[in-house]
Amino acid sequence: MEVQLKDGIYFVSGDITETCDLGGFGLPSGSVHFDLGSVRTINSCGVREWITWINKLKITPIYSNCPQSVVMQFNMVKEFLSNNSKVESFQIPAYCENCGEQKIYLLRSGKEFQFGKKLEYELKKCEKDGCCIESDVDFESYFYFIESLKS
Amino acid sequence: MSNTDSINIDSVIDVQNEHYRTELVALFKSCAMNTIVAQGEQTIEEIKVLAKNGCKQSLYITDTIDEKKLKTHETIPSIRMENLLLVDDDTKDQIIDSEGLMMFEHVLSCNQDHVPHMQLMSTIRKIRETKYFGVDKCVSYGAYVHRYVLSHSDQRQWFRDALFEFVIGLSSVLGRPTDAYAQFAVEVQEELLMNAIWDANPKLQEVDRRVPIALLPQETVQVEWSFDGTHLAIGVRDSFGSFSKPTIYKYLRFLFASEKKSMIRLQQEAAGAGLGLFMVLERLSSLIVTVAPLKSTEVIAVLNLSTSPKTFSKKQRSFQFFSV
Ligand SMILES: [Zn+2]
Repeated sequence: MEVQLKDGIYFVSGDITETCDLGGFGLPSGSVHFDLGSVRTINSCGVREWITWINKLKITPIYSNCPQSVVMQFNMVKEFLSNNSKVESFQIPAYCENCGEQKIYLLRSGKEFQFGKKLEYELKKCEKDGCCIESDVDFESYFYFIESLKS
Repeated sequence: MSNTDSINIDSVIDVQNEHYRTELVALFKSCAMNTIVAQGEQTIEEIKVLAKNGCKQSLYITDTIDEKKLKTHETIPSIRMENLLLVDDDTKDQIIDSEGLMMFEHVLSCNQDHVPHMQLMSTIRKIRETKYFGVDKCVSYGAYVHRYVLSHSDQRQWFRDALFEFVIGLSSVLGRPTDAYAQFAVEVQEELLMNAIWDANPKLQEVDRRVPIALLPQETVQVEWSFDGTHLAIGVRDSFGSFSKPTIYKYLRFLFASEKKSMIRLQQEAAGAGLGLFMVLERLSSLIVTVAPLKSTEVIAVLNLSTSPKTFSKKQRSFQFFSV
């Protein structure tokens, strides 16, 4: 796992595992903005370690660009979103068999989704005829964390 | 002509669903298995006859859980029963809550009115040939098996990178992006490896996992991957054989639970030590656990890559437990 600071945002990349050590990146306490777009995988020890560090450093995290690996953990480990955590945006991976195109939709808080509200969402089709773009994720379970989180 | 390497196996089919029953009879006939269709108290009598005729091991297939009957089967001397339960969308929810689930070594999902041929055949083949370990039995015949040995916990980084690249590379075979599968595969492998390195090893169970560890030669972990064009099998084998049946059955109901229901339960229970196993169950199509007590445990996760990542884990799930 790597963490890089750029324009006030901490960009996290790679695999979050038990060796995840947020103590080494000079993170301030209070509100910290993490861009998780490049997180590849997370293992069960990694989630716990991440949560421990967030608590230890008294961070109120803002997560943006959350990929599928992260959203799956939001849904499974509710402590991931404790400490007044905010999710600014998350990704929906999608693929269109007809166009052969892979697409990532970014859903933003306050725009495409509201916390505490059940999300009904439909993927926007591309310009081409017979576009059959389909999400890689099951919306009912994928959006579960949105309903259960307060705004 | 008979194959001297394999044992003959009879099967007792006690299946209510007519479709499944007819299909099973035809399928077993096609592979020269002696098949007895029986229901109610009849099964007990039939098994007694089998035992009397010198049959040592038999397959009992059913789609309902009748604990009392299963216990009676167990008391019949000199015959060992391998119990196989068939579930489908209609029966899943009631079955997963039953305590009697523990009495089944195999639980297979039926799909769209069909019994799962491939899983059935691989189960029967293992019992017949008495060869249980290895991912080669979970994929189509002839698929190449990649074999590795892990001897240091730090090598997991290499295993993550290599498996990720491997699955990304399957994209042109499958004709669709495989990013989600790559993520799932790596996360499954991670949990299986951590389980084999730390949880299975009585010496290391309580050790801080943040401290990298070199394994002794007798503690090394064997890893296998195989892809047959549809199924990706990831196998991890330890040298302890400490896996207990109740542990896996605690989580088994989640493997077959309907999505929303399981999600809510996961939320409530995942915070505990079982998180790793939940993560594995959420990302696979079949789970095969083989234990040689005090010698070795092999856990194989099979991911069916022929369906969209959205539905792949829901389709035709199966669980097999072999104690050998
Ligand atoms: Zn399209």
